[in-house]
Amino acid sequence: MKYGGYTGKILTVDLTSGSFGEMPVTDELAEGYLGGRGFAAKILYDELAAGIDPLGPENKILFVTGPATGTLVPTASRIGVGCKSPLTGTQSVSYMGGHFGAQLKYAGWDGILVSGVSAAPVTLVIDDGRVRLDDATSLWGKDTHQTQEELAASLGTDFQLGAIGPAGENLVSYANFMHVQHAAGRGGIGAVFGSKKLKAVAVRGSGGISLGTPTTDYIAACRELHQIIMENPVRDAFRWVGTTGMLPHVNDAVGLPYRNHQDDRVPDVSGIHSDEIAKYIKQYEACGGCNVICGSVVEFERNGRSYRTERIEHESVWALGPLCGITDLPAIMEAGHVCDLLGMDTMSAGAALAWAMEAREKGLLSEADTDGLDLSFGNTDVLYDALHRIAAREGFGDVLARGSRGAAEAVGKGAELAMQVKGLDIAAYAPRAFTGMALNYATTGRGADHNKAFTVAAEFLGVLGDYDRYDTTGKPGLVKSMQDSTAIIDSLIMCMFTVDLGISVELYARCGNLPTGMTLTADDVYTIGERINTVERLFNLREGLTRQDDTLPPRFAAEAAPSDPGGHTVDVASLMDEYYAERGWDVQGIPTAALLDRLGLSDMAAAD
Amino acid sequence: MNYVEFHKDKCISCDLCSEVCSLNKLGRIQPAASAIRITRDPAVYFGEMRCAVCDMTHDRVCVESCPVDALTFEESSGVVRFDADLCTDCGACLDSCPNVAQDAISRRIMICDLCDGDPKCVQWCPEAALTWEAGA
Repeated sequence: MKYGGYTGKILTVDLTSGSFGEMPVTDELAEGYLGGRGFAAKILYDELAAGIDPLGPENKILFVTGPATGTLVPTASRIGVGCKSPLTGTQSVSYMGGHFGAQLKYAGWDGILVSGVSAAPVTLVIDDGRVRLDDATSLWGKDTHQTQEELAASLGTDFQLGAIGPAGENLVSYANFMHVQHAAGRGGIGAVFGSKKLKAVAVRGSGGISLGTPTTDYIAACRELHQIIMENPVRDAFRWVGTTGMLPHVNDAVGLPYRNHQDDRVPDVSGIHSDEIAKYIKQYEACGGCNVICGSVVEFERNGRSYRTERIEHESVWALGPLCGITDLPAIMEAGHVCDLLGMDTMSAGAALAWAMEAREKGLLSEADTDGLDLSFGNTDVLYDALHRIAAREGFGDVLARGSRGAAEAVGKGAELAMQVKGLDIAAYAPRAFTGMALNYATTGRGADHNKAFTVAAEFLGVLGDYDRYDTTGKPGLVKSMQDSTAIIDSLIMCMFTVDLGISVELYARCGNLPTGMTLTADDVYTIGERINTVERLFNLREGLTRQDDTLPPRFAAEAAPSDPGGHTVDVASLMDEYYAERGWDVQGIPTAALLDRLGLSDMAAAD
Repeated sequence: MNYVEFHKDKCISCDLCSEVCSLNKLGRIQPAASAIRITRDPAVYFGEMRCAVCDMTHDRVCVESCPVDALTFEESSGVVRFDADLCTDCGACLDSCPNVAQDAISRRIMICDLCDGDPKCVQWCPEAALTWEAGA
């Protein structure tokens, strides 16, 4: 292909036949979709027939990198892992940092498309152009750390590794794929691995990435971008405590969901304050290509068990903590680590537990219903056992393994207490406190994902404007533009944190142009972002989703948070017409012919 | 002779050093072929960081191992130079010292040349895990 930054090919793996091939990355694909999430939108739409079982042989796993991955562009180490989600039934791509994505490109691949089902557990080993499937029978049943340790011992330490844990093997709807401490976390990709008997992936690359900009200019331009981040005052917050620094501020703003969103403020967060978390830090860690350095390793003990693991993040500490009425930091950190070992999303695990806790509180579930688990808000000791039962699908764990929405369906009650959109559980920014987030949760393709338009930056942090966080004026336009610009971050692929660190849309265009040699403008970035969001919409419409799915649980329009003196509620239905109009979708949320024509997608609509 | 010093407790595994080094030397980003390479002790979860870069102590095992003078020590700059025209790709230098690397594409032997006194890896290290030290 004519552009730099890409390897120009995606590895195809058919687990059923054990055969391998290549899919070309064409100039047209790069121009229309850029990389990462864009590639996933187009390829998943083309490769997955409507109505397939997410855990059946027809589903596929797609690893995608972007043109900036592994190229010195700041934070661009990330890789996306996509599929039709067993949690949401929509298309879904989860991203993880670390060193896996760059290594895949050095091995000569822009991505991996995995199809079929293996008869026995296997590890996919990619050693530059040499690809094989190793028997993984001895790894099946092992946790994500054990699996990676054993693979490192047998393959050599220069391989980058990722694996599923027992949760993925047992098809937990929110199982993830772990690369060391990094998770392709949400949407249940791990269960799709489990359904295919794909236990792990190992990659090593000795090759290089050629660039579309002369070397001296490239190094100087990347240096400028790194300096912008290094000199941004927000960088210092991420540097020492990662995302956990947000927690007390969001709580003070009555914006931190508590006890399954019954309130939006925790009475006392002093025990889970980032200052407390920082006391356990032993060393600091960065992803590849990153000078933010938000990661760290902690050591702690609980109930006689000693742990050395990664520092917990904002969303995890919240979901396994305040969402469940818990503020005991070692118990929360242990639960987060257990989720990592078992290979499941901390956020949906916490949300499933919080759903059960409220159902229990409301008398919809008895202790007998939950097989003796005391699922009461604030019960720190239930986390460890409950998480293990979910991963093993033992007793009531089998109910919770379906996610909050699926659990409510399984027991036939408590659907209104499942705090999710399209099956994906709401994140740690209260919809009632940040109406932009509320609309983003309601409209994002794979459900309530806070990272598809982090409007908190504009509504609370003052980074991207100064919107009133309760007032809905202008929010449909804000959400739409941020969803589109975020699609580019996810396509390059860079880290979401760069939004808060001085990287503007113009600079994202630059981050695409430097490795590729393209001449993208900010307008082009928005157009590609629109195209990506629209194709993701077409996928979901083909699956039968409608305007009725672009909604929030009824609680947020009906009840104000008791701790909120302003008594705010949020009704996203009242914003939907304006949001759809911003998008060029009709009142049913269907992209109009004029929009499809403008985005060059008329053929895709015609194919329906 | 000055040299690049690695401080293992400060390294946060960002790989910026090997990304920029390979780009500067080869015109493509290729950490496996960088003159500086970062690895980690795998025996422990988040084990100790390790760095492979010429330490400029110049026992010159690489030069001595070369059967055809493709590697020579340059007195004026104090670094080892590589001559691709003479190299037979025998691999003896790679066996002689763990700090020697090879570009799998061009077969070029990669040894730190200190970037003419202003090492890119030191410039780019965000944590001062790499420093520019004055030798005896």
